[in-house]
Amino acid sequence: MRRAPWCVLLLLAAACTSDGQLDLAELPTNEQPFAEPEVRPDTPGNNLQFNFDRADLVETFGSTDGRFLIHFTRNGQNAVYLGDDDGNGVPDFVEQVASVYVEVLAYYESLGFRAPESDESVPDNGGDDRFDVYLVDFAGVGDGAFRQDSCLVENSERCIGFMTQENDFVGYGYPSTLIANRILGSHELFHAVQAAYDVNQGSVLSEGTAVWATEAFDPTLNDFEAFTDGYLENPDRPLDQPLPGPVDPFSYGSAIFFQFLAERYDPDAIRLLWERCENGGEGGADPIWMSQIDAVAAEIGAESFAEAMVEFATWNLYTDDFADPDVAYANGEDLDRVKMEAVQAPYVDDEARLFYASTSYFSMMSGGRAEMTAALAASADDPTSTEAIEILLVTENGPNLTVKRVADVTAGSETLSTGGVDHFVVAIVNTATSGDSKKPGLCIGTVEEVADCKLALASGEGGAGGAGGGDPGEGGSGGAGVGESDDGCGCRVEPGAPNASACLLLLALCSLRGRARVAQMRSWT
Amino acid sequence: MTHSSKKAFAMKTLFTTFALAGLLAACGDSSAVGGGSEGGSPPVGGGGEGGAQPICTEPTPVLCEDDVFLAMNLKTAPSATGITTEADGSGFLSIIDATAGGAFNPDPDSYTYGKFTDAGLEQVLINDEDALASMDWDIAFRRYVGRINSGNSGPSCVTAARLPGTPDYDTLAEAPADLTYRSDTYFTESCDLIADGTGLEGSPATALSSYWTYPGCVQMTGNVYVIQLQSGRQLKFTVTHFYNEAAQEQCQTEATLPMAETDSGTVQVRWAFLP
Repeated sequence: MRRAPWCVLLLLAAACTSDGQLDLAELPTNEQPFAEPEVRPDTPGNNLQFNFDRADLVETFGSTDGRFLIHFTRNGQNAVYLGDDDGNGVPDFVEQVASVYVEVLAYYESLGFRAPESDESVPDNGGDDRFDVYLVDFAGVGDGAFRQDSCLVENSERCIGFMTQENDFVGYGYPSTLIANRILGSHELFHAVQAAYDVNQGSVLSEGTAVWATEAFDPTLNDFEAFTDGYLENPDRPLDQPLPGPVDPFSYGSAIFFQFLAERYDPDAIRLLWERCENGGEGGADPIWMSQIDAVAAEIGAESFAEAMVEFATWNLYTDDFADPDVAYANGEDLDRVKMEAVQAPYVDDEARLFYASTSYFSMMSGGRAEMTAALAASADDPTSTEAIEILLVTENGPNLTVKRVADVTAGSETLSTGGVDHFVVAIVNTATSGDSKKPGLCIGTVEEVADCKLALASGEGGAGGAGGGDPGEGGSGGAGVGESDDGCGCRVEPGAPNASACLLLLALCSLRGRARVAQMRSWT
Repeated sequence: MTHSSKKAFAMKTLFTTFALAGLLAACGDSSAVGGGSEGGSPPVGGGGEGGAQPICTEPTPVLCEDDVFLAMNLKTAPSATGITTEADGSGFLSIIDATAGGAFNPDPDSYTYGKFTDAGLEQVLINDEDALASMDWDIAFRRYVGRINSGNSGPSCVTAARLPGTPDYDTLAEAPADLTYRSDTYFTESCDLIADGTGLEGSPATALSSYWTYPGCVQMTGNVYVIQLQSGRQLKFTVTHFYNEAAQEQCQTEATLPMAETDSGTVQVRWAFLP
């Protein structure tokens, strides 16, 4: 299911009753594969969350290419816009929906993607084998969803489905119904395309590539830009691990990785990845996408996932004020800064947790140091803890970046000149595609400081054979001050305000704040 | 680790309504600390250490540590919020600001960590990452999730036992002999999160998770626990509030929340050392 960045606000509104209480029944449920019987929104007595009313007179309109059938009604809460400027008896909105789907599918097929599976064999298939789009009222709880209603006998993870889509977008805030239909159609139809390969790849590949697909289809749409914060605020999270809970901006924001693959290496990268995810195909009996990414990286000229990951970490430096289309994303200026942990030099972390397929960024002032470096120290517990880890040294000087990849991550001898620069940044990239996190020691500073740090870490580990004995200096009594969160995007309610509406206001402010922390419901559709 | 398996993804599909957790506060929240202090005499510290023997002296590695870190969305920056404690008869009333940056926040603050001392529940300024390796804390809260330092939460051996029935906190003078203490284990051996059964997405079955239930708001069960610390000392413990006084009262009686401030995430606990 696709919910626009602002849509979570409506979701919250719908979920909170007038007395400020949570109404469980108003919350959407996940729409998992096989979660529903083979019924459609116009099937009498269906229990689908979004459906036609029994009293609705449901009409159909076929697209010009003969591949889509739009189901709509002219009355009741599910009524579409009735405007008919061309006077052909079909609401223009319905024709617009149909034409968008025709254009979207033609585009995906031009990239070599499969069309959605035919529903010819499904008993309740909307009347024929055309792909069905049902226009019903979502009441603000989302704006569209691809639903699966059966899967192939020969491959239970290739599935057939249909589209349910918002009937009029009233109250949704899209600039126009055309923009709404182009975002929604391109996103949701890509879920139908995905289902022609494999429906069980998880939300990162599913939502991330759907957001990528919209961007590829029409770069003027702003969906991609609105979602990328979900990744850029969590680059230290494994690339394939969604955030817990329903507010998962990470899956949608991971579109930036797929955009990177397509933009940096090969527009076919995403198709190649989906092809390798098909059961029994090149990827094996039942592959998961992360196990295929290395092969795809090699196929698109990245040499390996490890090399692509380092390049990805580099590209993510070139956003916002540091955007440089000659070096990285063409629209980097529309993307926010990647999250960096602000630290002070010299910096020491005796156990820097580095998840696979992730990057940790540390930013600091040089403090007058003329040159700086960084190094890792393998832990005594895990001598392999520096393997598959790469280090980027970066200086920021105005809008200009200097990036240097360290050849030996344990040496601490390669430096960047930091005299007069604004910030020194160190990016630690774990290029593995699976496995436990690595926890090497991390030292940042001058060559001498890093050397001392490495010695200290080595001596500390060598003494008792442990890693410092449980942080004995960390404890102590704390103050009693009650602080506020730094950004306020957590849906706090201002004192004295009606809580539900104030919460929405704050969330709205968050959404307007340069795409800060896009709150997006996680879903599996 | 199960990161690369479809099993992991299948597990994720079980998550549906963590939204509720956020909505708890989305439907009412603030930074103010709720009232409800019962006041009383100055803190007296309770039963003293007596002849208690340490339960453990060396840290035990946290199992499924990476999974805990990711599934619990643990953070490396310490919580900016605090703990206050005041006397409560022969024990204490502690107010833990577990707002953690607010509900529905995909990038919350760390848990707020505390240690039970004779002077009260003292805050331990530590982040989630370091807490996984530290025996210096006893209890932590973030929103409605309470953790104790053992099992999947930390390397120590703090355990908790819920007293059966509806015991009276005030009259409980010693720990019953037949209690079953449990560590904070809420991941399976294969590192899958064990849900607490509330229906709130991703809410873990911690040793203290039965202090609340969810009929539409975070309603206190009134359960009383005996917590056994690493030192061997025991204390009686009960959570009285997740919201401020008025909101909690309405939640308890009507299972609804008022339109006014609720101060959700401001956890009030009563506790006292036992002999």
